[in-house]
Amino acid sequence: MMTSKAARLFLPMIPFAAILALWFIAPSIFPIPAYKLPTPQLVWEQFAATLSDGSLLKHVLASLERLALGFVIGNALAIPLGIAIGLNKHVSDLCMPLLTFLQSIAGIAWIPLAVLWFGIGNGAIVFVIANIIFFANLHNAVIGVEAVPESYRRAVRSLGASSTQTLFNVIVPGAMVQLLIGLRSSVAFGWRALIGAELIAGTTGLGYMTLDAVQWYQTETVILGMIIVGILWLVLDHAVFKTIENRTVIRWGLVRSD
Amino acid sequence: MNAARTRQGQKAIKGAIGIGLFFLAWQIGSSLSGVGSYFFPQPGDVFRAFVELWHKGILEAYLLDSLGRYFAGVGLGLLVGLIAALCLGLNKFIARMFTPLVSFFYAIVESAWLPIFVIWFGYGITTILTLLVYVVAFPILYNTLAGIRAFPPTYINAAKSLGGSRLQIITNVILPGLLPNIITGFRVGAGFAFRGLIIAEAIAATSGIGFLIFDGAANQQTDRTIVGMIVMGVLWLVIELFYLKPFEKATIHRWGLVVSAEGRET
Amino acid sequence: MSDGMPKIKVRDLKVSYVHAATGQRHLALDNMTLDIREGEFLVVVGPSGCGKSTLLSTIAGFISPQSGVLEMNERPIAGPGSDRGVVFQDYALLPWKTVVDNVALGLKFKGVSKTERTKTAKEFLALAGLAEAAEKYPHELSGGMRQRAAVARTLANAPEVILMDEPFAAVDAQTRMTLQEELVRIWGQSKSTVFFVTHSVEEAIFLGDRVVVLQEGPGPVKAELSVDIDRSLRVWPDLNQNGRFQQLREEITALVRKTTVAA
Ligand SMILES: Nc1ncnc2c1ncn2[C@@H]1O[C@H](COP(=O)(O)OP(=O)(O)O)[C@@H](O)[C@H]1O
Ligand SMILES: [Mg+2]
Repeated sequence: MMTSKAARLFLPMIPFAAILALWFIAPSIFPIPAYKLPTPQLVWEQFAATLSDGSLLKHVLASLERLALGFVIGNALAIPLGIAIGLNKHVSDLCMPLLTFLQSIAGIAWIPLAVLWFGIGNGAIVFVIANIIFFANLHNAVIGVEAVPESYRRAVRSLGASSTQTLFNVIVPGAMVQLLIGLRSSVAFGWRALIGAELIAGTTGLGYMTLDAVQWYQTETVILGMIIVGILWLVLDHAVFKTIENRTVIRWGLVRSD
Repeated sequence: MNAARTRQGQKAIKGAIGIGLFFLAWQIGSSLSGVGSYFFPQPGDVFRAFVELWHKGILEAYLLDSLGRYFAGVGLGLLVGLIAALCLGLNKFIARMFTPLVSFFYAIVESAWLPIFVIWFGYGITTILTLLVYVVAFPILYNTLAGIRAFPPTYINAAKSLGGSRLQIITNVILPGLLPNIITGFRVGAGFAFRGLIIAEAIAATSGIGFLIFDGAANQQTDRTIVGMIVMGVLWLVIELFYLKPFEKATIHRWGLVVSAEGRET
Repeated sequence: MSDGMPKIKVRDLKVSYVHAATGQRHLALDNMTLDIREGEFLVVVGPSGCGKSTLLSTIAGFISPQSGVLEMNERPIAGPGSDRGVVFQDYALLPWKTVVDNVALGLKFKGVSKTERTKTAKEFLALAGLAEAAEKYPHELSGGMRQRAAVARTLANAPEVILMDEPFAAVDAQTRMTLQEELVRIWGQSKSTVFFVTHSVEEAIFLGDRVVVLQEGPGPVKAELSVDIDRSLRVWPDLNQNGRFQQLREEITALVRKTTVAA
């Protein structure tokens, strides 16, 4: 038991270690110039340097702040509209074709217009991220509402619930499973696009940091940025969303925990 | 039958009203705002830009470029993803061992790779294709590994007890069983790839719809940007409706048949 | 029982479903005439698909009739209301609320304070033998316990009429008998009017003051019978040996079966 658990923890380290080792020895075997592949030591030193002068934290916080803002704005618009579409056939008929089309214009493509309207920097990026998160979660809100069993609505109406009471006691919590899936995947989409948007329209942020470094051939910064993008996402996804799930839908028995 | 048509008709009319209202709001907004067509082009400006780009042949050329890159990248990505899945998914042991590594690389989103690809391959087609391959291969690999880890051993044992050889088990049991995972991964990757293409063309190309969108704005031709956005939206709808959805249907259906055939054998 | 005025009056009721996509109408109830008397336990039996649920949903106000009269206390029924409590076959307990919060739900909607409604809910849970399960979530209960909780939720809201649609169809036979006995015991204390739908003839006789048999397909009721067995004799499994029970069972089974064969 003990050994197999240890093995499970230890085994996945092997591929990481192998890649790291390859990275260490590659420059001494192949003639790769340092600007194309800086050594791990260089990347580590860059990490230490940018950490101590605070510039790394500044970029990370800038990215996270935009993601949070886009998340709040996008969902604040998507969830009420999605619920209205899920509840009302007329709203659905009126809005769905337009929304389907607007959704297929990927959020990234709004960057030029957003820069034109809001200027380069925060405003434009938040606009783009909010746009992406809005469309990513809109459908989930609609599906979630439609999936609420009719008998729940009937039950509370027979218990004397008003429309508002039905909305907050049945529709919103009933749509929660799907909404949480939506919140989670919408952040994933937002995060993806965020890095892209920062490449083009940023003056701070992880995306900006990496593309800016290309101009100065600071490849160690580029690789550092990539590693941080990967780690940040894994932490965000596991720490934040797993916790929310455990506290809600898993406790309610709506999905199995694994 | 008649009632059904009426309902469909009503739906179409309401949908058209919705789109009409959008264009009306755009028209009114852009003419009232008075900021000029550079900041907020009117629908008419966009239409003129569309006609102009079409007549000059620019639009067709860009469209072909983008489509060529997209399908080449997605096709290669599918191939690479499948080969990688086959290597890492040989058994549960290897799949478990490599899952965290794959998760980590999957978490490094495509845009974060773009700068290093530019350093490695310069601005141009190699960078774009590499990005698309990366962005398609990883979801396929990731989903396949997840499928392998969760693969019910009873299927394999059943096939073994029927006297299946290792190769027979792989082709008859494991691959069809994993097909839904592969398709899910491919669908996700194909979507990411389309977005990735826009970004890649914005940074590393001098043609294509993504280039048109960003180049228009850079040259104060905002109407061209909007033409690019609309063409891109239509393109994605077409790809999704006529290419990805039927592909998914055909394969998932086939998978359904495979399972029932096995059920009959045992 | 009362002054002759029915609690709920159904006259020539016609109900049809409209298919959402095709717009086609499907007639589910026609020429339906029925009285539910104040304080009685009325059971409706009939083969599956004969319109029992449709009748119940119409009385509950979930569906509006195409034509006919549908009144409660001589006033037309216009929609769902807390004067008619409903117990569903699939319980319809809200998964995101604890059992006690589910039972207190109707009182919450009325604006009763948290402490007061929790107290009332706990009384009804105790009555249903669920005092221990108050703080659990519905998915942690067995089917029988869930149905007890659903009954408690309806009773706690003190409706004038309780509508029950095959509430015990999904639980095992043993639990089912216990639930039937408990329902009669609890109903004996509250004396509200019950409209109970089932396809089980035994259940109908065990529970009902009166049994109404519906026929297959839309049309007037097939038969109405009074269950003239003293309530003190209605105990499982002794009731099976009761001569009058056997007689009634044969009679009603024949009625239900004949309608099935005829169609
Ligand atoms: N939502 C619905 N839409 C269309 N037809 C329905 C619907 N519900 C029931 N029906 C039809 O109405 C008839 C009566 O159904 P129901 O009241 O559910 O019968 P029972 O409860 O006695 O089994 C059946 O023919 C059934 O197919
Ligand atoms: Mg029924």
